Amino acid sequence: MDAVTQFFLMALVAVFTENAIFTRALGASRALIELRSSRSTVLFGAVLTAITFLSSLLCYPANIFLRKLPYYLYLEPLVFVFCIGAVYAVIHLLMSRFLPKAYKRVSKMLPMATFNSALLGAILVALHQSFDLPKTLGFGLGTGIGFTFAALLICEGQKRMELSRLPRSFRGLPATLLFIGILSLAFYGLIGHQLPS
Amino acid sequence: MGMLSYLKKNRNKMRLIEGMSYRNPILICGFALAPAIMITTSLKNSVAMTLAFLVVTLPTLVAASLIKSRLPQWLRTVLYALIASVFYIPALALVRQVHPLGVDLMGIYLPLVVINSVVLSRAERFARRNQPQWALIDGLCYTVGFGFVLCVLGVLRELIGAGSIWGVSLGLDQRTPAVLLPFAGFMLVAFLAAGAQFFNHLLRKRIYHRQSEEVK
Repeated sequence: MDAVTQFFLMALVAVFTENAIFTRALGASRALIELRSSRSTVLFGAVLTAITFLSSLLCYPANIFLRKLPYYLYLEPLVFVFCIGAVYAVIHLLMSRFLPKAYKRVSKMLPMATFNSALLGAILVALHQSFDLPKTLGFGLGTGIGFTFAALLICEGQKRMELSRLPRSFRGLPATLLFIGILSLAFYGLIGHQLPS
Repeated sequence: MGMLSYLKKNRNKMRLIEGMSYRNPILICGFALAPAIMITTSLKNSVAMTLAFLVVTLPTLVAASLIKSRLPQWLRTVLYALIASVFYIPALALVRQVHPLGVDLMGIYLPLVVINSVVLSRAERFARRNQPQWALIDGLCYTVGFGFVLCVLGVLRELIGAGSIWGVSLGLDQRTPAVLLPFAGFMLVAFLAAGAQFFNHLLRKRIYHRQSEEVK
């Protein structure tokens, strides 16, 4: 019972208090800024959440073996990228074989959702702080869901900014980054201190 | 015919050095925003991150141009990320030499250089279809663009936030530690990106005026 409580607690923390985009700038990249409709945003977020959850399931035992090696800091990205790559390959092959319609819609965003700083960043944060398995899984799930909420906010903000009068130099990326910055300030006001990275 | 050939010549030459000039990876393309926003709180961090980026990106792009299109696309992406993680080992050793405390200060953002969008995007789009020397130059230009923005941000934030440069305190009274927080990073990158877009518009206007003068 305690494990389930920890799982959901960590997921809530990762969604709201330690949001990947607003507090740690993970996942803020071109993929986020080029999402134009809420449907594609939710799809991207769902893919990201699924792959983060499955990758943290693989990376947790890999980390246990990795910590016993002397040069684990050097081998850490290699092992985690290998786990993420394995999940990506399995999902790619299974979807292209058994779910061709869904695969057609998802195939363009699959590489960008997998090799995303939010995914590897969430796994690194959870394992650097030595979370146990329910906490790691909860953090991974919460990161994906928090990313989806944040991406929906940013997508809506971008739509409104496109309809308003902005200086020509500020259209597109600069305005979106300012928008994320102001929301990040709001989150800092909520938390009150800089999170460990 | 003179105007069209001028445009063609211009575009091919500029495309090789696009990372340095009109397509800055951070400011125009929006790649690798996570390290640019979070770790540029001091100049030492920026320089260490640029060196790690250099050591990871260049060999991966050369390897990508040697692999070409022999494998299916999903396997290629995973392979690029794996090659980058292998080259992370010398990168981390270099960062440890240059800025030993930086490994702890930069936390999770140093391993994240392995899956940065620049290397995966340029490997797929450019290095795969070109020879190794052009992939190397392209990667070098993107690294210079990345490093330039990171160092500008590092100097600004360290000067305003901590009143020092490269860890040497300058004895300034007026300091704003809030600049070292992530939200200030977002806003500074936004203003620099606006400046880069302004510069791009100016460049395009000059080329257009030059061409319309040639037509006349």
